[in-house]
Amino acid sequence: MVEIAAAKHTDSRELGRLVGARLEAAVSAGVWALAFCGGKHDPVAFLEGLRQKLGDLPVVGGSVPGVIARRLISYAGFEAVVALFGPDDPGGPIAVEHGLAEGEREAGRRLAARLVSDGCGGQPVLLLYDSIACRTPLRLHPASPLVQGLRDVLDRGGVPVPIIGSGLITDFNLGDSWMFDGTGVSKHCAVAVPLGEAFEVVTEIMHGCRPASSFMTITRIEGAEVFELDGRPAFEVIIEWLGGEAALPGLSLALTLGAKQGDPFAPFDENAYVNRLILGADRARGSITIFEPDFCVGERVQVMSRDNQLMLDSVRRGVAAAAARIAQGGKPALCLYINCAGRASVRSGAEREDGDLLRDLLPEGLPLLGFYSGVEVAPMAEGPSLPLDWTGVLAAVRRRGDQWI
Amino acid sequence: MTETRRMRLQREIEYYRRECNDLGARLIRLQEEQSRAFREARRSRTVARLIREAYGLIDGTDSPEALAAGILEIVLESTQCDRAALLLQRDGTQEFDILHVLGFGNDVPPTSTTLREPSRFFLTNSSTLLNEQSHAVTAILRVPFVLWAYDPGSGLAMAVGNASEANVSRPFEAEDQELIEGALSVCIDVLHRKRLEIELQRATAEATAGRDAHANFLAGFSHELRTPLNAILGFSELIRQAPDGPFDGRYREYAGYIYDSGSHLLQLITEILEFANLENAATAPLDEKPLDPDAVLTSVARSLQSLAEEAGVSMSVIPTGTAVRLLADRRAVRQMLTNLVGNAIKFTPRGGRITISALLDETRVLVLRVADTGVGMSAEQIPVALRPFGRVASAYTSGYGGSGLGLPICRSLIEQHGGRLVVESVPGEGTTVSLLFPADRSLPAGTPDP
Repeated sequence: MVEIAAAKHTDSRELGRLVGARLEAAVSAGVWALAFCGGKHDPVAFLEGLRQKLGDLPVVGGSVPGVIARRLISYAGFEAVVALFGPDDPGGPIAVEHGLAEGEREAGRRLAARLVSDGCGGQPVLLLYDSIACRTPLRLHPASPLVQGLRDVLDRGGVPVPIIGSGLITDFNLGDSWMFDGTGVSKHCAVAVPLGEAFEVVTEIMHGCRPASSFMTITRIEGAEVFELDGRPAFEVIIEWLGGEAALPGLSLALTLGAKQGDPFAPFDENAYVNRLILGADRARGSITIFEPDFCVGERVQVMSRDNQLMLDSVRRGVAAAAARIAQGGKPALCLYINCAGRASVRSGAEREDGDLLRDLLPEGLPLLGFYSGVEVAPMAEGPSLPLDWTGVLAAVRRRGDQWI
Repeated sequence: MTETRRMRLQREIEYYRRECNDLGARLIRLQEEQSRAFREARRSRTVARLIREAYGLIDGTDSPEALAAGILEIVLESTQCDRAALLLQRDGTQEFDILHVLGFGNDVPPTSTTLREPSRFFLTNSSTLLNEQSHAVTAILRVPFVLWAYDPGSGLAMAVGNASEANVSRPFEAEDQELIEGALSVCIDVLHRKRLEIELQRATAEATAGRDAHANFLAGFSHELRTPLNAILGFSELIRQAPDGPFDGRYREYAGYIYDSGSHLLQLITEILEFANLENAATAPLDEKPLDPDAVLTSVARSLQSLAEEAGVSMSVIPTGTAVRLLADRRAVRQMLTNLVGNAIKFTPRGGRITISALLDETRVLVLRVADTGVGMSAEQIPVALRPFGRVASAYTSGYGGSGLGLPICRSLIEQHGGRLVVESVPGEGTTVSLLFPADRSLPAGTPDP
C-alpha cells in the first residue's frame, strides 16, 4: 500500500521532518520514496529532515513549483508531497543518469540500457529529469531527445514501452531545477524507475489548447529555434497573433504551436495535438524558441490559443474516462497527476485550479500524488510516449489482472 | 474544373484562411485580456487576503518573531514572488537588520545592510535605473527585480523580489505600491497587536501572581494570629467563668472584656482568612450537592437566634414551601446566610425586625433573601460595602464593628455558584440582600440529599 503525505513549511529541514513524520507508521515496510519539494526550499536540508524520519531509503524526485494532494493544493514553493512504497508496490531498481549536460539522447540511451541490464526493459517507466540546463541565459534540457534515447533502446521489440514522466522545475518562471537521484541532490540528472512487470499504467492526457490559425508550414528551424513559418520570419508571424510586441512578456502563456497528429482535416480533437510552449522570441534573429527541438522543416503547425474553459472541461472528460477505465481493473496503487505549471490559475487566469477540480472528481480512496511540472511525458493515443506541453497527465498505476476491491 | 472555378476556389480558401486567422488572433487576445483581468483581480484581492490571513496568525503564534515569519510567508505566497525580506532599522542609524528572509533555499542571506535615506517605496524593472538604494536592496534579495516599502515610524521595511522580470506574466509596476505598502502596514499592525497581547498577558500573569501572594500572605498571617488568640480566648474564658478562682469580680470583668475583644478579633481574622481563600478560588473548590434550602435557612436562623435576642431584634423565617432542591455547596450557603443575617443583626437597632426568606420564581431561579429594618445605606454606599474592606473606610458604618468582608465574601461565593448578589437599601429604612441562584441549580423535588 503506497502511503502519501503532504505538508507545507518555510523551514526546509522541518518540512522534511513533518512530511516524514506523517509517513512514520509505514516506514518499517518502505523500500523507496518519491518526493517532490517546493522550489523555494533548500533540497539538502529537506532531504536531511526527511531521512531523519524515513531512514536511508532511496528518495527519487526533486523540485516542483507546487503540489496537488488530497488535502493540500499549493504553489507557494514551500510545500512537499512524498509517497512511500513498500515491497509489493510499484518500483524496481532505480536507474540514474548524471550526464544530461553531455547530450540528452545519449543519456536516455544509457538510462534505458541500465533498465535493460537490471531486467526491467519491458516495464512501464517513471521518468524524472532536471529541466533547466542553464539559468542564465536560460537553456533547457529538452525532453524529446531524452525520451527518444530511452525509446531507442526500450522500444526495440516494436511495442512502445509506456513512459510516464516530468521535467522538473523550481518555479513558474523556469528559475532552476534540482533532483533527488536516490541518494542525494543532483543537477543535470535523469532518473528512471521501472514500475514492475506486474503493473500497468492507465493514462489520460488532459489538454486546454484550441487552434487559432490555419495550418502553417515550418520552412526553417534549427533545433528548438523556429526561424520561418510559411517563408516568413516566425517572430513576425507570432507578433501578429499577439497583437504587438507589448504582449511579449506573456508570450509563453499566450499561445503555443500545435502539431496535429493523424488526419489534419479531421474534426477538432484535443488528443490529436502535440503542443509546444514558446519559450522566447528574438526580434533580431526573427525567431521564436519552442520548448522541444522535435519539430522539423515541413512540419505543419497551427498557432494554438489557451482556453481555460476547455482546460477545465478536459479535466472533467479525462477524469471521467480514467475513472471508467480504472473501474474495470484493479484498484490503483498510485494516481499520479503531472500538471503543466502554466495551467495553475495564477498563470493561466483560470477561474478554478484544474488540480482542485481533478481532486474533487477523482473517486475517493484513490491515492493521489500530483505536482506542477515543466514538461509532461506520456504515451500519446496508446502509442509511443512523447513530451507534452500544457497538459495534465493523470496516470493510475495498478497491478495487472486485479479486480477492483 | 475550369481555371476560373479553380481561381475562385483558391480565393475562397484564402478568404476563409484570412478570416480564420483573424478570428484566431482575436480569440488569443480575448483570452489574454480575460486572463489579465483575472490576474489583476487576484492582485487587488491580495491585500484583502493578506489582512485576513495575517490577522488570523495572531492567535496561533507565540511570538512577534514567529508572527513576522508567518506574515512574510503569506506575502510571498500572495504575490507569487521568489524571495522576500523583512528589515528593521537600528534606532537613529542607517543600518538595517534583516529580521527574516524567505525563498533563499540554500543561499545564505545577509544579516544587515546600510541604506542612506531610504525611500518609502521603490521598484526595479528593466526600465528603471539602478541607484545606490536599489543596488543595496537587490543585493539583499540577490535578485534583480524588487519591490520595496519602508515605514520611518516603526523602522520596518519589506522587500519582495524576482529573478525573472515577467514573473507571473508582468514586471513590477507603480500600481504595486499599494500592494507592498499594504503588506508592510498589515505587518506593522499585526506585530504591534501581538506585542500588546504579550504585554497584557505578562501584566495579567504578574497581577495574578501578586494576588496569589497577597492571598497567601493573608492566609498565613491570619493563621499565625489565630493560634495565640485562641490561647488568649481560652484563658480569659477560664478566668471569667471561675467564680472561685484567685481573681475578684473586677478582674473577672476585665477578663470578660479580654474575651469579648478577642472574640471580635477572631471573627475579623476568620473573615480575612475566608476572603483570602476565596481570592484564591482554585484552593477552595465548591462541594456541590443537592440540599434543602428551607432546612438550611431554618438552621442558620436557629444558630443566630440568641445573638438576635441579645441585640433586641426579632427574626422570622419564610421558607419556599416547595420541595425544591438546590445544587450548591452547603458550607458556602450557610456561610452566606450567616454573614447576611449577622450583618442584619449588627446594623438593625433594638426593636427592629429581620426576615429570612426563600422563594422559587417562575423561571426557577431560587432566591435566598435577608431583609432588615436597620440603618440602611445610600445608593452610593452600596458599591463601597461590596468592596473588600470597603466598609472600614465608610463613615456611614463607622459606629459598627467588622472587617467589611461579609458582603464581598457573599458575592464571591454566590458568583462561584454562577449566581448574583443583589442589594437594595434605603437609609433609615433597612436593607434587603438577595442571593439569586441560577435556574439550573434548582433541582426537581425528590432529588435526594447527600
